[in-house]
Amino acid sequence: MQRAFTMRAGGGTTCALLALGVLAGCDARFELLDDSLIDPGPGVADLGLDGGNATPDAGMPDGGLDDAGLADAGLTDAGMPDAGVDAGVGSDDPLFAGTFEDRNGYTATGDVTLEDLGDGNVRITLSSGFSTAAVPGPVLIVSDRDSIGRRLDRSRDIIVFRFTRDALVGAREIVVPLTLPENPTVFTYCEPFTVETGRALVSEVTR
Amino acid sequence: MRRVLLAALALALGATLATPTAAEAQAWVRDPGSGYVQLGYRVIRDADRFFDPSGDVTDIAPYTQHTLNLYGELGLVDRWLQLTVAGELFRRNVLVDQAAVAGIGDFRVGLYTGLYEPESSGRSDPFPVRITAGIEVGLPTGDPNPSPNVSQSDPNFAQLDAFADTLPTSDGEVDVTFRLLAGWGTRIRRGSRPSLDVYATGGVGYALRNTPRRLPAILEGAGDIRDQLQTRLELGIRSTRPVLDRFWFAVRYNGLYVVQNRNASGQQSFAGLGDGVEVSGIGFVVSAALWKTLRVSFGADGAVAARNLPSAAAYDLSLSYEF
Repeated sequence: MQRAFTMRAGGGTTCALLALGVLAGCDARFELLDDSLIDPGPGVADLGLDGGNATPDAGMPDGGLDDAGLADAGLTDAGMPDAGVDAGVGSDDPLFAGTFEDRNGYTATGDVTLEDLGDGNVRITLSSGFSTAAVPGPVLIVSDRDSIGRRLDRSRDIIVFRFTRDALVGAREIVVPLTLPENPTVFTYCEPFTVETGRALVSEVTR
Repeated sequence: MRRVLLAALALALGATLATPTAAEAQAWVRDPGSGYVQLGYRVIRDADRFFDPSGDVTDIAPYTQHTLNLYGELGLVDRWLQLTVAGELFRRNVLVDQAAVAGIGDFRVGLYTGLYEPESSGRSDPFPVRITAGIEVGLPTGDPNPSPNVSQSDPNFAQLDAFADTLPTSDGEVDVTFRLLAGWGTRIRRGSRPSLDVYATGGVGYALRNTPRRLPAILEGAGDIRDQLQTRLELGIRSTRPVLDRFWFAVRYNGLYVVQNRNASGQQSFAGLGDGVEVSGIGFVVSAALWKTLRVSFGADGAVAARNLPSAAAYDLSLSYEF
């Protein structure tokens, strides 16, 4: 499958100016070579740290849990005191936490928590010390495996957030419809080149 | 001797993995009105490994790059001034089976002046090395921020834009490089056996990098690309035996090193055009005379160490003409 996009309007004019020695750039032409790469992804609400102002990401249609394909691990967490993380979060719902580590020469810092909100959604919280590398196409992934390697398995490696420049550093809360796997791992990842740029091996913690 | 040196010049145009064009000026400044033009094709095919920012090699999705390069020299003032133009007429970056971006690449314009020529002393090669200084300006004629050409309201915009960002055809900035070049060539006579023509050429350059314009959103506000030190050395040889005298054989080394805050993480670059790119590369080239000064050359280069660069061999095929 191949889908081509046309050159941006004005590109020819720009190139003509170049021929006249005027310093200007020529727009390049982009082609998507495989339509199946389009990732519906889960629906995402990026709450920011102040919370409350949920902003559904228009760029990511709601793929829901069926798209995610993650089996409900059916985790029950006995004995976790309710720390009152959020209204509506059940004390039996699991909470995972971990710290990012560098991968493949790229620096990743900060902590991450995964809270199962009990309503089919998971709240992902990146700490104030969070940072990840400004690689092309950086994404945040929750996976049921501890290494992604060079190929995304879109049924197991769920892209839960696409980083913007501002989001590469600092605290953030993201709510995403997702069923957490039994042993989740969180990655920062360069989607185009399939390179892990950070990893957090999370473990279940008490609330 | 002059003939040997000029013949060497026709060949001494090396490739690097990380410079915008495959050809570069050498120490021999052309006579007024004489010139050299080269059209070359270069490919880096299915690079599935990558030198990461720390210099380690990691697996990546396969990457291929095709470029059609133009290089020209024109002598303007005897010994003192030569104009050079180098650029990518076409560049196609491909994430294999994923996405591709194609367009014109970046150009460089340079001026070179002969600081020292052996003949200028009036004696016979008292110091048979010629030394030339030059300045080159890199122009961001390509596209540092390719667009997926779908509306920003398109639900797939973010993902497609990320793929497009990965495949720029330009470094996006005007930069200036100061270069100091040296060249030497001679004929080694071996009694009754055919003589050998040999040459050595090399140089160092300091590239003052700048702040790219129109960066992908993920890199906005990243600041200047860090300055780089360029080094190169090329050694060539040919026999004067009839027929064999049509062929030059050369080996070459190319180096590109970050000299500012070398261990800072920088902006990163996957396509070899952004910040933090380093390479120590070696390669070879074979050049054959087709007719008079029309030559065809084939070469290959590979990196022995690098940062922020795909790990794969680059192959060049070029046609050149000297007038």
